[in-house]
Amino acid sequence: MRYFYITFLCIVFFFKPAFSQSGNEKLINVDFKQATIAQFVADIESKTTYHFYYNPVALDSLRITLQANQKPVSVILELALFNTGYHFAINGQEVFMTRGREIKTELSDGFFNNNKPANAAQANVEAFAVDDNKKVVEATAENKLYQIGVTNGTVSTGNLTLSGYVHNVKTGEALVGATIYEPNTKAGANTDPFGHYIIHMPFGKHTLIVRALGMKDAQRQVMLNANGEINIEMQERITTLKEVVVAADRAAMNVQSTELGAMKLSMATIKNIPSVFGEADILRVVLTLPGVTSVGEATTGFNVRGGSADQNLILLNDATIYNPAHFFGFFSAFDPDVVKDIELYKSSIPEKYGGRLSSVLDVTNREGNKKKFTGSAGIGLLTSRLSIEGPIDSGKTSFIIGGRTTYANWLLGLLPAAYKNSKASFSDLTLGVSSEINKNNNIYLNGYYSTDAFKLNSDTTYAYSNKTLSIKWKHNFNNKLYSVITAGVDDYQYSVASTANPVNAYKFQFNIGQANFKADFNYYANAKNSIDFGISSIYYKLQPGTNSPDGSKSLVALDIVPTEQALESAAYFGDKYDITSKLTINAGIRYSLYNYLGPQTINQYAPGLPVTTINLVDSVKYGKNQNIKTYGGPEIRVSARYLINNDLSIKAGYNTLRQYLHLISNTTAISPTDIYKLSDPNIRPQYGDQISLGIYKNVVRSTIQTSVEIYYKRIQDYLDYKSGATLVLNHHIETDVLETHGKAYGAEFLVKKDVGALNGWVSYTYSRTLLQQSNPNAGELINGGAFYPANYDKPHSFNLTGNYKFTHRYSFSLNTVYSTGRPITLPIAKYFYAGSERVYYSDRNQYRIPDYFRSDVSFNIEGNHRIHQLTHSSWTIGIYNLTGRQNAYSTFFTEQGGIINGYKLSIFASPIPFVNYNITF
Amino acid sequence: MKTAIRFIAVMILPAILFSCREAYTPPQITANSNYLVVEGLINTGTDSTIFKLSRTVRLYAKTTTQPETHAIVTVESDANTSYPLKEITPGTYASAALGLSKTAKYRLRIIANTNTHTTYLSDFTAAKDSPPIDSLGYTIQPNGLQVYVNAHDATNNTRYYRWDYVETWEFHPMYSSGLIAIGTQIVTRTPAQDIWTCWATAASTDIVLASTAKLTQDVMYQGIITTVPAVSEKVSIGYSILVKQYALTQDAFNFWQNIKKNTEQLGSIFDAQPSQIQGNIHNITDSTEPVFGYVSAGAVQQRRTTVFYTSWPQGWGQDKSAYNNCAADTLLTPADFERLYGPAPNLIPLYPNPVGAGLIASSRYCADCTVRGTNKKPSFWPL
Repeated sequence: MRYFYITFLCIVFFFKPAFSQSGNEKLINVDFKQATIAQFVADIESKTTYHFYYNPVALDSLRITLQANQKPVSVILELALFNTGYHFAINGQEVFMTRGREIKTELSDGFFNNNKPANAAQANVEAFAVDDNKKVVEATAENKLYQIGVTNGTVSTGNLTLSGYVHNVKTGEALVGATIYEPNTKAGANTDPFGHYIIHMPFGKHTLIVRALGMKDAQRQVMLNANGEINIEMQERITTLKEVVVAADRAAMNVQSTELGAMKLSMATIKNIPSVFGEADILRVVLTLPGVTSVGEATTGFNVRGGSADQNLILLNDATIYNPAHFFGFFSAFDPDVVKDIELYKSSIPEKYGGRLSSVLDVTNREGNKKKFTGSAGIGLLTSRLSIEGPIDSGKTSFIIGGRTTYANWLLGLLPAAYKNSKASFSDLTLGVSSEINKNNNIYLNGYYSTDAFKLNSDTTYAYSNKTLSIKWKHNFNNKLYSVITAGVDDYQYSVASTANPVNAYKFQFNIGQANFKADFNYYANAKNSIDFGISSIYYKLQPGTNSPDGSKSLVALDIVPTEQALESAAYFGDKYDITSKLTINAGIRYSLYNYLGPQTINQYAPGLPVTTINLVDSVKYGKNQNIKTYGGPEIRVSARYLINNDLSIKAGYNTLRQYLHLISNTTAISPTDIYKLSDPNIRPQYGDQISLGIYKNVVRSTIQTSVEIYYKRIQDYLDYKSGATLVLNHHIETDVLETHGKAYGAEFLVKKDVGALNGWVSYTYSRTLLQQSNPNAGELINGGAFYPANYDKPHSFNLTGNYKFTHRYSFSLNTVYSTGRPITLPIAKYFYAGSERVYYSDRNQYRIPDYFRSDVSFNIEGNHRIHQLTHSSWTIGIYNLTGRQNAYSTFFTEQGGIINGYKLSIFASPIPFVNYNITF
Repeated sequence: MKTAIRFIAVMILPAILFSCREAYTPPQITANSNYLVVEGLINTGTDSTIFKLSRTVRLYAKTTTQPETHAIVTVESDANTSYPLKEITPGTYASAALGLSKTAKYRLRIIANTNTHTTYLSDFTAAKDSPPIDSLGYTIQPNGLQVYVNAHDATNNTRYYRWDYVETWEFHPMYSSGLIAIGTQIVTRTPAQDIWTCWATAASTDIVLASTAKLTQDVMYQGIITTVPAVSEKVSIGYSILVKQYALTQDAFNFWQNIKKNTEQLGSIFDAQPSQIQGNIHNITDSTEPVFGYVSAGAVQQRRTTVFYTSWPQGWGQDKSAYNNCAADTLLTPADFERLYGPAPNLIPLYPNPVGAGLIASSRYCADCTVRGTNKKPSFWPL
């Protein structure tokens, strides 16, 4: 038997004096042959006054063969259990039997300066307890044994629950996605978005291995006597600073989780990836992930597994960002100094999310430093950034505020002549306040504001802006149940104005706002079973367009497309259940309900005929808040994982989604001035489902994760537009759009290495996305009703994103992208009309632009690593599009002086060097 | 808070282009389309009605137009009257003013000669007369001369406008010639033989459209017709523009706007995807056959304005790119001249060699303005 040196003791304990080695112990004879524990205990209890406590389940495999004459019980037990992995402890007349771990029955040597027991097995049972206020243990040391719970002399059977928070010791920031792992029992858990974890383990002593992104691996010894809590603080890896990360957190999760098609990236990883003009750009990094494509360089709109760009729910701290782009779409609107990490769900979309068909991109901001004021600043070719964070009161509340602004006008001088007189400006501001009211209640306040204004070589000015504000309350009911209640408002608006011609001077405005409320609950029933449930509701108010005169001379008629209102509500329930240690099922259902609300006038069209103004038969007026149309239905989210071994698993998933909000666009790239439309009696919600299958394998001690995922997806009632459609200020937009359906399928191969000097990922994706408009009643067939490739259909796509650290101060990054050119519609004939050659276009998307290839490199230099200096600085130097390949963004045919000419437009068509200087203080 | 922030502003301006546009040749497109193209207006005013019929050609065909000849083209009214048009040049069918009633609806019937006498018919359309052009003016912009029209319709019915125009401008060739070769004789050029001052004419190639549908009154205020670039030869001496104004139905306006979008307004980052819109002409037996063009009916209004160099900034009209390859050479004797170029006037003598024997000459293209225009002053030219 080993001794345990306990160096830490909780506040209150009770102590029973030891009766060790009592000389008058009764001697008995025993003779067991393959006896079960029940037989063994019954025999000894019949011969002595001892009473045994044990878990029959835990000890049911024990078989005892032993002959002994005139031996004390302690010796018999010792002989019987020698080298079996089972242990015993005697406390007075009580005997405890356990498997795998010993019951600690003594304090450390010399703690009480008591007699040192000669035989631990017969030592006293000591029970330690935290005080009755249940103050949470703050575990900061690796070698201490932390006692959890009160034992009252009995050994708990079954699993106990240990929970708590994992924090960064320096900043007090909650660590998300940290893994807590107990190697002996193989119990494991991850921290939730609030840094909270719940782990289930049997009674006894455990060693917890704790790992988190950018943190030193930590280890905690706990003695689990009862359900309890322990907070763990982790040290940063100082030598690499905050910016450089060696990520190991989800290595095991790749194989172990039930999620398919989910990928999480930390900001540190994102910052290592070279980007145009050196600005760390979240959405551009998303484009390097397998299964994600875009129509080209000029847009940050991304297409996930064949979905359109508006089918992605982009959340910034739970707030919906309608236009996550700056500068016409070239740059993403998230502040790289404030964002902590991003997670993209392509397939297994958790049931708490809904409202979009393709994916959820969850962008999470950092919490402010709770211990001291710090900040960072950066200067790039495009923007300057500043962020400051720090505590507000005594370590409980912190804030973080970050802002960016641009001086990008010089860039526009480099644009083609058509944009020479353009102007652009943008800025964004991010604010976060987090406060720990007490250990069970946390409040988070988040705000975001972005604004863009630009003028594209004409007198027309464009402006758009996102605004969000949300408040989140996290409440722990107990160790097993917590809730997060979020309320917020999100708003997106844009305007287009021109005053050059006083008679035609106008201002066009568009606005979409939503107020949302949701309550999410998480219940850990036991180690095998955890349950998510909740409700949510979003109230939309959409002003599709207001065109008003600008100036007293303007004759522009005030034209207001009536405001639309709708309520999207949902209730969900999801259960993650370990059927066996290898098979886990995550089954969820979400029921979404959509109400299109008055006041509104609804056009009714003759049934069975094309929806055109000619077939308009009636208009019905509805009053305020009157329910005009209800849509809804269940959404299924199921995934399962089967663990073949610790490094290999297969997963399958099926999910269905509904989308009630449409983005209607007839441009190839998402334009800042596209319009949104709520589903109404004439425009049905989009519906999609996806089945996916994946195989996951970790090799080289889980340092390399590999996966292959295949999927097949169907999309229904996706809106396309008719030829010559008018989308802006259209009072009957249903006559200009077509409901199409689509299918997408593909296979994604990924190899990812998170740790080591060389890290990064390689992915190859084969995918197809095909759309079809085959309903002749809709008024117009596209390509004669045949399937045609979507704009973003790029069958082959290859990505290599790598970073190599020469030393802690110098690292080199490489990003290489290859993809098939996107489909385009080409002219097949020409004719002379109205003084010029004109072209006749073929069927839609029957040709492709040339293949795309680009390589970017960057070199990151960290300043010196003395910890105690005023500021830390770093440089990023690199070249975007190293080979200078003139990748086609689009090809087009346009008339000049009566002649039609074909052109190829390339963006970022030559090597673009960049420099970025960052400073943290 | 430690706030000692050391900013080191390093701005390396990449001396590179942000994006570029270059010629593009698509993959070989073999589709051999041969669709009917109909262009013209059923003129209910006092002008003649002219229709041009042609066929589409392959994208890389050398010729753009392939006239549809020997068709039978008639204008029909909903009162069952028909007015035949006569083929005046290959593919052009015309009639003098038809004296059509303003209240009837009209359509065009085409019996094509090719493709086994297929019959094409346009939809009946009401005559829509253009309101008068109130004024045709111009503004001097930094980048050139901007021509605009003002018009209005007190009845608020016109709403959709289209214009086309013909520009005429006075210009000089690269070199002035004071001499003329008559046989082998070089003599002084008389004023009647002047080839220094000419007038060139060009029709519009862009589609010009505007709408007042979003205004409370049907007032077309400074609708921009064209902007003549400041460097253009058109604004070197004198510039004249004749603008014709058409009133369109909404349907016709959509058609024109779509062609404009598909063939003139592409190449931006947020391009609309090209799409085809059917006009109002159909093959009566096969409605899926593409037929290009839109048949409208109505009366046309026109107006001219002429501007001279005194009205625009000095230094405009410097563009001599038409004469990029011009050079003047010294020829020693008139005999050299004929030996080199023969009697045909491919070379124009300019003036005697000021520093020696012989004379200075240049090619006809560089010295004779009649190659690119006419030296007969147009009747509308005011000076």
